[in-house]
Amino acid sequence: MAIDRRQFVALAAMAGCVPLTAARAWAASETPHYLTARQRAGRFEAVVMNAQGTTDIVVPLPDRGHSFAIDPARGRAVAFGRQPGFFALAFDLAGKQAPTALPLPAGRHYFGHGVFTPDGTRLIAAENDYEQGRSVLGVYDASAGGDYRRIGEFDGGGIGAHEVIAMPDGRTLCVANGGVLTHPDYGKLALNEGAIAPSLDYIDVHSGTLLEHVTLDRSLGALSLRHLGLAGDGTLWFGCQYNGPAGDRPPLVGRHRRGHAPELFSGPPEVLRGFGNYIGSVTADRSGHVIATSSPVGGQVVYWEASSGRYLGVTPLHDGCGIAPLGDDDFLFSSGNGTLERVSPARPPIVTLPAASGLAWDNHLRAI
Amino acid sequence: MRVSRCVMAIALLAASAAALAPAYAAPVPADLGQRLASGYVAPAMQRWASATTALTTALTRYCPTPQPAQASAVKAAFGETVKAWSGIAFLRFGPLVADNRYERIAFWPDPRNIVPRQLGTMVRAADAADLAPGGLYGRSVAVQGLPALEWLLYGDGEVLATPTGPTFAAACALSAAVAANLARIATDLTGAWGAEADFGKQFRTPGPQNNLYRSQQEVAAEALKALSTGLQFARDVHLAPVLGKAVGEARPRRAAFWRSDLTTAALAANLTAMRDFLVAGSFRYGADEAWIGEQTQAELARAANTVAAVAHPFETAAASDEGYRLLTLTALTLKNAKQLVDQDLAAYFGVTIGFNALDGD
Repeated sequence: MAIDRRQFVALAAMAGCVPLTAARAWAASETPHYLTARQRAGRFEAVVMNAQGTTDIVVPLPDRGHSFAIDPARGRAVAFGRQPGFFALAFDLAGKQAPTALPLPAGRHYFGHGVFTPDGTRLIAAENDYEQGRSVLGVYDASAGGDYRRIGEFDGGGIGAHEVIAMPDGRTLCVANGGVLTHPDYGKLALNEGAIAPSLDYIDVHSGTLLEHVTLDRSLGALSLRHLGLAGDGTLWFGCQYNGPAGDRPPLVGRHRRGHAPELFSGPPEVLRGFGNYIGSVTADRSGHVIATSSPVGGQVVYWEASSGRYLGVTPLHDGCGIAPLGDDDFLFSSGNGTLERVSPARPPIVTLPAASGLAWDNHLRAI
Repeated sequence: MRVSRCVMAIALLAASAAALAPAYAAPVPADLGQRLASGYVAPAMQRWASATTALTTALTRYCPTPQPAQASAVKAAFGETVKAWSGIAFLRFGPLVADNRYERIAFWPDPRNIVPRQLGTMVRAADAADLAPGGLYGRSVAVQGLPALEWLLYGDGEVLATPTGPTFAAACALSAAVAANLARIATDLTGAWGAEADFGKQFRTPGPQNNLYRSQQEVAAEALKALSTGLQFARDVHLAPVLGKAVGEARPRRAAFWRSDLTTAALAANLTAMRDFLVAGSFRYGADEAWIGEQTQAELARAANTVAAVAHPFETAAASDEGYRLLTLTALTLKNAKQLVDQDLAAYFGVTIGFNALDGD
């Protein structure tokens, strides 16, 4: 078996044998690059890679990863542990420095998502104050020399914060509070099943002031708001999960504009059924006109016209969840079977990396 | 040394990346839904219904005449009810999740002690509306189920220990109302799993026209995911919090039904039930794969026997060397059983327990 030097470096980094400095700098390449978590040969890792799955850097993780806060301007990211996560590792995208662990206080765990403020001075992490059963946003000093010291925390506005993103105005955070009460002693088990309290909460990034608390119509009360994406015009899109009877088919995808009521979109009944009442990731393409919503439970990604909410198409992929923009009008889609596919509403999928045993891409794929 | 170990690790990684998953899937029985529903689920629901009815009767007799004989009858009936529940608790799909029935029956785990807090308030209030038929169904799910009943009977409700206390009449009447509420839920469950009911029919005879199950393959996926999730729940939620990190840190009160000392009986019944459910499916294996079914069943039986061997009372046994050893062995056996289900059994029948799909987030 021939292994060239670059493969050796990647594999060696995977095996935890060499420092990351040996890896090629991602920024030197012009092809799109992605950040994702994976399981490979039983190990949990975060990787920077291209659309063919060729890795530039590999960061070993102490446990299963989930999503990332990315600061492309300063070439750095933070990998968060999957809920209930007890680690967050800050690292530079060029792999030049050893990763730094963020200081998580007692009584808190990560929910797997976080975001840098646009000015790069703070890192915001979705966290669970699990004894009190409320979501909080941990605030960390991301300024030069700040060493990710924990400055404080904001009230998350609800229960079970999941994804948190920065709105285009640069001043506002939006948190999807799933409404599901959990305690790390019992993993992700819902301790308030039947009485979940989901909400979207807009929070001032400087003061922590809750600016707007948005709930869904009462008839949709059991819809857990989980994942967020932004259309090109700045409209917030969200994906939900529903834990009620499988025969129920609530709409799972919606959008929200500040000061308005949320709008929900169902698409064709067969496509809605195909979600398995579960959305795992939401993103826009590079044009900002098309929203993609993926479901590993249903094994599909569904596309929506951002301006109208019109259903545009579906691509099946077993256990597929990670979705990120690729070209101007298509996406890269990753699966728990190790597959990477180039997908779009307009063309048949193109496999860029076939399934491989022992390799599983985790829920979130982020374009850098 | 470090370098050579790394080279070996690299070679293994490179090799594993090349191997692809097998595409072959064996057919599931053409009448799988019928076999599972009529061979296991419907009778198990019937046992649960009978047990809750008998428990209601026993409590109705005990409250006006709280004598030792009546108390023994309540304890026996409560034990049967917990075991019957353990026979259906892993069927966490369809009727058991509709209308929050699972949470109504078993609001557990309860790390914030919501059950004791709400029940304490209710006993003091002694509101007659709670005792009327259907009265509890509109209340918090935390006060409707077996953990509530256990607290009333064996915990600070002191219904069995102190039938002379000032709150006895209120607590006993509330216990009977909880039991009657459980019997009502049981009636709903047996109805929903009936051969002519909407769900029962779709599960037994899946087809392209159905909303829920379009093929026996979808029924197999539901059944094997229930089994996989049930095994994970038994290990991660029932056992791991009790075991903690070492014998000195065992936390027996994290267990379900520690107050009534039914913890191990409930777990054994749960594991035996999962084995019986699998057997009822009559999955057929090729000669080279017969070991998959045999080993899965054997591991489930071994785990059930191991946990049943833990001494009583559970609260002290779990913190003893021998009890801790048996519980640890049970957890390890369950881990192995889950791997057999996920990686061998499910895969053989073309059901993928997804890396992302099952462990939702």
